[in-house]
Amino acid sequence: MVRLDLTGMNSRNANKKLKVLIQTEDEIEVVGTHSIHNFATALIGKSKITAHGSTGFYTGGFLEGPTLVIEGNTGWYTGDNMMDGEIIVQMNTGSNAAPSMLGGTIVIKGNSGSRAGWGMKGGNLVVCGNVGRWSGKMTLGGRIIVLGEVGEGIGESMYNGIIHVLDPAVEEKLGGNVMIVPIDDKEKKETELIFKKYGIEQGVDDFMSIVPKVYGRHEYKLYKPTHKKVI
Amino acid sequence: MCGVAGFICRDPSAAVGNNFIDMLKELIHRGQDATGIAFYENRDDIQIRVAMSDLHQQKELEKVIQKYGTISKERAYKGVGIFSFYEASVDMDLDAIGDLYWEIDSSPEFCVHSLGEHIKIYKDQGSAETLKECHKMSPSGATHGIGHVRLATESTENINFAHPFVSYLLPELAIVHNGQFTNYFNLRRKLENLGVRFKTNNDSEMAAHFLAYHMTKKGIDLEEALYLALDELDGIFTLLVSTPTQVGTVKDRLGIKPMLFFEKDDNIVLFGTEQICLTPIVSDVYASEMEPGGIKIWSV
Amino acid sequence: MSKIDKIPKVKDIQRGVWNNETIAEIKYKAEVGKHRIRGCGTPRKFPNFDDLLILPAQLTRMPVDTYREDCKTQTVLGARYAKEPLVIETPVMISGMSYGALSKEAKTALAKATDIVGTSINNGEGGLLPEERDNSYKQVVQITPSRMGFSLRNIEAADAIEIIIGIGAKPGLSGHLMGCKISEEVAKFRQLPPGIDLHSHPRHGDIFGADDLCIKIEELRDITDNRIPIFLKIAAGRVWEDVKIAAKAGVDGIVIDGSEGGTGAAPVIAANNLGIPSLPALVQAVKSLEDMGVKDEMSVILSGGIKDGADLAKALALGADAVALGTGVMVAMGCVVCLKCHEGKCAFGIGTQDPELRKRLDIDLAAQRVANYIQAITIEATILAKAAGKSKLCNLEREDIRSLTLEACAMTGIPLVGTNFTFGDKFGFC
Repeated sequence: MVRLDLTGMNSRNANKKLKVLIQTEDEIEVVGTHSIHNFATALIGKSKITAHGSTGFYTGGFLEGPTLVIEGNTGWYTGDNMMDGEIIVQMNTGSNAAPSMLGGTIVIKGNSGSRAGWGMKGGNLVVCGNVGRWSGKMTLGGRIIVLGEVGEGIGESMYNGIIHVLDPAVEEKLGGNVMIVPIDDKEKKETELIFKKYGIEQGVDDFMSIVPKVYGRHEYKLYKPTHKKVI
Repeated sequence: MCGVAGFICRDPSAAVGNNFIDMLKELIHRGQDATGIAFYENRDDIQIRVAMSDLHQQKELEKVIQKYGTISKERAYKGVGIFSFYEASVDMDLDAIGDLYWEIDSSPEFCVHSLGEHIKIYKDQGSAETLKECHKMSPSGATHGIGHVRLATESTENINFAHPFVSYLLPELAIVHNGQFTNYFNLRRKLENLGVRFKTNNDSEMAAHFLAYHMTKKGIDLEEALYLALDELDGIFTLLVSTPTQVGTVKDRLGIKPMLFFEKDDNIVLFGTEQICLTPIVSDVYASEMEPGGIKIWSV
Repeated sequence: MSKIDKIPKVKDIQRGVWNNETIAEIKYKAEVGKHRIRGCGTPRKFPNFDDLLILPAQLTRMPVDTYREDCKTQTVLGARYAKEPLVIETPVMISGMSYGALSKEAKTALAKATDIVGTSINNGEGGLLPEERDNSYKQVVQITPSRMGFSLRNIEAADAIEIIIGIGAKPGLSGHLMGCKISEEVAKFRQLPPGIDLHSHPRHGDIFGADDLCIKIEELRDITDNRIPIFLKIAAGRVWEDVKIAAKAGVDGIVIDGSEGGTGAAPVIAANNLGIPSLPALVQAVKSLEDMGVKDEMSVILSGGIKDGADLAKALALGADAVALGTGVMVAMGCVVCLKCHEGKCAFGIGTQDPELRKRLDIDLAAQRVANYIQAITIEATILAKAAGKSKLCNLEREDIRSLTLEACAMTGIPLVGTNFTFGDKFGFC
């Protein structure tokens, strides 16, 4: 167990130090984070890094393997392009969380903002609170689980992937080219395992799944007259 | 492309104003071309701040001001870059402020940064650090303020093109803007046709005139003006707007540019583009993100 | 073998202006002793919107998602004085084409199309067909010099009035309709003897000059209680001065018809040599209105050669509020621009009064095709606007445009691509 103080350090030096430490240490405690940007980017390894404080943009970007626990808030683009590993945010994240994420798991105990899981390709994004608008936009894979409320345009034009939601008003807020189906048993099992692992007390039976509609091309309504007839 | 920050401190003894400049320091990676702050204090005099292209123009500037009132506590000094600054107290008629403002601005050598009973604006080239060192500011008693770090996009890097912007139509209203308007030229033509005069080619100046024009000539309040702005201005934008009694913010409908706010007790409200800029004053709090197409107003 | 056999033969074809078209024209005139009349308008190529390009948003601005984010197209016209401005769902309108030049089936189809897509149609010179009035979404009623088929009833049915001074295809001339198209029904509608070659009035009998126009417009406003907008349509000629008079006369909007405009029949020499093209006319009209300080009040509608969403987007950027299509919507219905409208034998049942030929036009199919076309070009314009970072079509501005050729640069005052260069004063700020 080792302690790293980031007070007065810039992100380049902080990441350099972390890269060295994860070679040898299993647990790293980080203090003095002062919402630093690019915290713990592209770390390849197996250690557990706990940040006692908030971090800034691009937290845990390109992360591959380690477990990152942030005991505060993170900024926009948390876990961008994450490859593998875990990011657990105890409070809230900014918007555009987990963009183009490839693998691993991100658990946000608080709320996330708009465009969560943008273009996700794999892995799991779990939000215990609410997500904002256009979450799950154009995903290529992966699993998003939202326990709280969702914003408008959820799952807009998903290509692949799945979103599990509890929000009873989800149908009015659905994005284009997706549909709601009851959660299937396989997904229930997977979700139960995730909840157990991260201590999330929530049953899985009430979830609904948002999946892409099955057809060759996405449909878009590009002309929206308000007079009466619809073409 | 820019960063904005702001604060409201209803109890001036909490002296949040002192740390306000540190909020902008944390945003330096978002823009290093220029930094500017506007803050409001409960004063009993009208104060003026003007940028001059040269120190020697002080006499000429004072001639213009003296047509409207008497000057005291004047000071002129060189700024961080090529511009010099003049500040003073002016004993003059409140109603003539707009006229004096425009008369100074009509000269290409001068640019009024602030003129009013409550407002004070400092803006210069470079970072918040250099702004603090070079200009002797004392915002500790400020009730509220807004600030900006600039990464110039479509207009020049001249500091008169830096934010905060004020319109001579309503000199106690200041705005800072993160983003770029895509219908600036059409709206500028519309406003010029209505008699509004522009000093720079910066699109954010247009937003200041837009709000000021509608609030003065159409008699609407800040909230209505922000709703109008949300509808008529196009592009990506987050605006932070302050008047002597209110602070308002509007975020564009696509929600591209961030705007966070945090309310502490009943006393302090903080605004910023990023969580990190709130940390000099409160660390590790949950700051709310404004909704796309959202408008919020706070009274000071 | 002698050298002479080895010399290849060269075929000489044309000599300068003495091409096949010139020769055919001369032979016609030698035979007939007067000018030739032909349908459709001029075949000449003019500098047009293809010579302009639109600047997209990249780093300084952000584009709007083409498929997943909206760009509003609703358009409000004539709000200067009218109590009920014309509100249409797209800035694409259908311009005035007369019943007589077009068949009843074609007019009905066009009216039905406006209802599908949410725009307006203009009745043209030949009166207001009940089928058109009953099927259209918004009806613009034209007041032509000849007043054929015109009465107070037309004004009552109108959502907007258009006083026509001239059309781009034959400015300064009058309506031409050849005898072969003046069938019994058309003749009755227009109160003409059947089979006559019609050359109608070029000037209004009750508007002799700009001074009369002011009072005439007041009269019309008295009749409608200032409810509906009054537009004035002029052919592009002395645009600067004409637009000023229109503004002073108190109209709600002006329709500029460029020389690319079409018509049922016109003297070839007039179509080819009278009037200026749409692009420079639009810029001149906007400059004239700005010079008077009324650009923000008066609507500007452009017609003449508008064919796709790019023309629409660029016209809006230069200051138009809407465009009106004529030939374009006819082609959507089936027209192939054979230039023989004046003969009345349109194989598609559009430009004919022959009952057998008219049966060939399936009204509902034609209506859907025209609606599809108008919808498609509106979408095209929104694609361009979104790429430039706009969430409303009307937010396109002239600073988003650059000129590709020196002529376009000189005519419009828009800088040449990749430079800051214009001839003389810039039209916009940059």
